[in-house]
Amino acid sequence: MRKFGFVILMLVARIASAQKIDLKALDKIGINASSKTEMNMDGAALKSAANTLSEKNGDEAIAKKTVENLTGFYMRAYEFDKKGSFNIEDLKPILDQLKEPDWKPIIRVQEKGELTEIWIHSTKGEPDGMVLIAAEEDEVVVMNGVGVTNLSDLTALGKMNALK
Amino acid sequence: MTKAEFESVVREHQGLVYSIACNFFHNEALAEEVAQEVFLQLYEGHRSVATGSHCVAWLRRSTIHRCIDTVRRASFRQEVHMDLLPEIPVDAPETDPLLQEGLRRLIASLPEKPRAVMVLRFGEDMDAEEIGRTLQMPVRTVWSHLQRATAMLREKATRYLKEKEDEPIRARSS
Amino acid sequence: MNQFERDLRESLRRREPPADFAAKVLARTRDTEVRSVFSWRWLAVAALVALMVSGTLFIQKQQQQVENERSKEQLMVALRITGSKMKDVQDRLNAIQQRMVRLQGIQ
Repeated sequence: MRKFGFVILMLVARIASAQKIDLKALDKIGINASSKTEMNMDGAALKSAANTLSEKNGDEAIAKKTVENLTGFYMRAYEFDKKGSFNIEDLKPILDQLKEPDWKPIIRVQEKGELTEIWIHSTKGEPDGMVLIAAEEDEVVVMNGVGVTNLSDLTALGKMNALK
Repeated sequence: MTKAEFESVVREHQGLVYSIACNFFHNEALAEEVAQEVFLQLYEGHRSVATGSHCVAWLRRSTIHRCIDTVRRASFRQEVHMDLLPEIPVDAPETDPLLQEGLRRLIASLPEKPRAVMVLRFGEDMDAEEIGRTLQMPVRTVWSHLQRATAMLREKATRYLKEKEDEPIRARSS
Repeated sequence: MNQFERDLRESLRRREPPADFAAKVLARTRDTEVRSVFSWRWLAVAALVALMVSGTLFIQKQQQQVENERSKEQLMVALRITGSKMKDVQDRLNAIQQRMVRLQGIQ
């Protein structure tokens, strides 16, 4: 049986054209957040930040590899003190943008008030962008990556936060 | 203090400093980085402390405050998702590795102050007065954090087990 | 102390850092010494040049370095958050797959 985890790790978004979605709708959600992380980095800013990353440091080396061919990295991450501070419906303006025919979902999971979706944008059959949406009762994370990225490297950065 | 003496201090107390950071972050790489910075701080500005009897107290205090500052500066918390926790029976036999791993993850998900209290109480065997002095916190606040954090951890562990039994997971695929 | 508290204590027991930890600390103390001497010397030179040529240029460079460090830190935080979510997805899918395998086995 095909392993879903294997699918994620082996999927690589290739270069074609930039596919950026508008995250402004999330500003409304972020007003009530107790903790905010907002990132808007176009190609030049990414390159500048990547130049400061060390190739010898484990975490930074992987991060450098993850972003080296990205032309845009945009993220909103909000945490809330109280559950129910936002509604899943508030994500509709984001999800509506993903209804365009070039966006295809590869993961869509909803359980107990939690929503997790990963979408890939393709141009002429070639993947060239991704969106990650992870929403729980007290947290929202939306990430839009434009350009080339290796999802296994990105996942590895998440594993760096867990004890071996 | 000579370089050799400083090295001796590092070797003697590296376990203490590293353990506090490791238990706080549940992240070996970050713990090692913070532990190194604590000793550098000792080297650069406080070498007189290293030769005194209050070296251990200074190291504990510096380490825990640096851990708290690191979390606040990064402005994100490591969320622990209940679905990721392994089965954690509260009445498991001693030295159950799955139980310990689950508890470590839960502790690392606490807000920084209660987390610091738990790490110092159960990791360093400090009493409430010592913890209060280290964190510059009233003793009653230390007790409050301890009681609430312990009760919450115990509740989370047992609730997780109950939820796994009662509520099947629904998953939709596109 | 009850069993749960003993479990907490066991989970937070003392652990040793990597074997080369002390060596790394000592290496950084040497770097600190070299840097502090070096940087003071060059800061003095740079300050003199800046005074002679333009004080603004020196300040701009320092600000750029601070800005670069801040950007790097922000990027690492954002990538870690994203990576953490990707890992959650992976773990969740593995768990779903295992449940489906078990259900198929039952059927």
